[in-house]
Amino acid sequence: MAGLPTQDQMFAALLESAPDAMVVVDQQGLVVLANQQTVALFGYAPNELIGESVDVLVPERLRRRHQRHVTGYVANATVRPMGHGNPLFGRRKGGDEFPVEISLSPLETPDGTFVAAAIRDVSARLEGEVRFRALLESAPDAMVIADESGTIVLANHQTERLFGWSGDELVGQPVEQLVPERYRSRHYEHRTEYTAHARVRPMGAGTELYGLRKDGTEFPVEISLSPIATAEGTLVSAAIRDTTERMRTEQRLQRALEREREATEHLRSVDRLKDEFLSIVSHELRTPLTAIAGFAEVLGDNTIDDAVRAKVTTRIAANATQMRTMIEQLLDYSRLEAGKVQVEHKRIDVAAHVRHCLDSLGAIVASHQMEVDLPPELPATGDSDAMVRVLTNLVTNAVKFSPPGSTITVRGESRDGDVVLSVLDRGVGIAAEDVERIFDRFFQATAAASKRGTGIGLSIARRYAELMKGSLTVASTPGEGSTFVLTLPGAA
Amino acid sequence: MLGHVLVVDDEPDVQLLVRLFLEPEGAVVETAASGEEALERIAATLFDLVLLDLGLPGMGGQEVLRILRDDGRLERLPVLVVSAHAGAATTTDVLAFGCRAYLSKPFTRLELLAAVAEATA
Repeated sequence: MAGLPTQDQMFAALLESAPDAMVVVDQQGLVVLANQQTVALFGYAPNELIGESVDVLVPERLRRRHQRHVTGYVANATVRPMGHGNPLFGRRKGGDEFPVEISLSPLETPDGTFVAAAIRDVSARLEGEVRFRALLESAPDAMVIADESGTIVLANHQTERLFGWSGDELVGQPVEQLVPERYRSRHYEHRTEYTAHARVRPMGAGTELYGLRKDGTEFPVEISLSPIATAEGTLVSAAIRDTTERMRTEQRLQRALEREREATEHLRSVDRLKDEFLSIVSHELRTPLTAIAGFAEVLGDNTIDDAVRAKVTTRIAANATQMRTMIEQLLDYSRLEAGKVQVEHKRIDVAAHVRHCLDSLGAIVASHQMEVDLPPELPATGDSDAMVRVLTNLVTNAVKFSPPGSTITVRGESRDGDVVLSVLDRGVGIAAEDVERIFDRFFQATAAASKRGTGIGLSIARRYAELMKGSLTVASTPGEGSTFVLTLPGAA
Repeated sequence: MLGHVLVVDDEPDVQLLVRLFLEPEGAVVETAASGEEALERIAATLFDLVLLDLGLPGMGGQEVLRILRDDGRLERLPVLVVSAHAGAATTTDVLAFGCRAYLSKPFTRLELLAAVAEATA
């Protein structure tokens, strides 16, 4: 068989060609063979290891355990990695330790069972892992790395802070554990698709994403995905950012914008009302002015008879009164707007004010039946001028919005320490949607559109009532009439 | 001679004033206080002139004008619009409707007579 290598020669060549350090040990644990890679890795001279116990390659602190394992292995030898997942270390001749991975296989020979160990120095790889881990930890976001099956293989500390799970708890779990229940099946589909066409991209594309904490609570997140190609296949790394704060800020901003828009809209509507108001005022002043100027011209004609003269003279006075009332109302309004109105809080007799007011409004209330139901004296705490303003506005309002000849009732009483005065008309009433708005400045209800007036009377009356620490409200049935109720603090 | 005049205005004082200004000129003045009443009167009587206020309760003066225009009566009936709604826009609006003249409140006797003359010319 000349020219053919012997089995020993072939075996030796095989050993030398292996990328790893290869050591063959007998049942006593003595080194029988060691390839060049072993010698180089552990720092020995060629053949120096032959006959030595394999323990010289093991750090002293681990030797005792190693010896136990060797005995155990020989008794039940299979091809398997050594260490059962525990980190392993080799020892160089000088005593240095380095991390290794070892796989064992039994060699059955006529001389008994030998054990072959393939030893790989994993320092470089571990260093890479450490660097990678450091990189992961330095990321500001929670980083979760999952394999192709969606199982979490790595999660940094930020993940723990964000989700409440520790990295150890998460490793080995499906990533869906971090996804709220209702999104899980969709997430699974998307994940499968992503793995097939992995590239760096944000997750969710425009939809809102939520994370699920260990305690079951949810929070909005932003997630960016990127594939990591490794020897074990493509991993997917997900950078997860809690966007609660940002969303809150956005919502605050949104609300602020909304409020600003409303304020602008309100200003615009007040502006519109003011424009309308100016046009109404100009119209309302022109009407009595027409009568006054025209009748004055009529009076200048000496040919008119006495009856006409008397009539137009009365009408001039009436229109002048109407204009004066309106101008006073405008002044009241502008003083109230400017906050220049100061009221006193003195004892006033509401009954006397009502009687006096009805007297001075004689020409205006003459068209209606006035019914007055008041005690001889009705003391309240308030301001005499303000009281006159409120009463004038309420009575003229009742006259204006009820048909001539109908009854207007003014009723007053003391009730629970307050003075309650109501003015009741049998007029057009106020539609439910307008009831509160009638106190808005410039507002006149739709039914009142054709009526005369500035539309600020009730607004002024309410302001005066409130200045006197009282209130002015209304109850109304459309078609039947309205009741305005003034409440003032009582007085001894 | 002015003939038969209808004054449409919800203000009794304005009705009275126009009457006092126009009767000495020989007018026979009738009055109406709303748009609906004005249309009834116009349907019943052949007026030589209608003085029409724009700000009427219920049916407004513009609506009265539109109805008169749509059924063709405005062509034969001189209408003088009298309004306290000052403003160029209003003036243009009512003139576009086809009424003859416009007078804003307040007005003097001479202003009223001039506008009446313009409307009936």
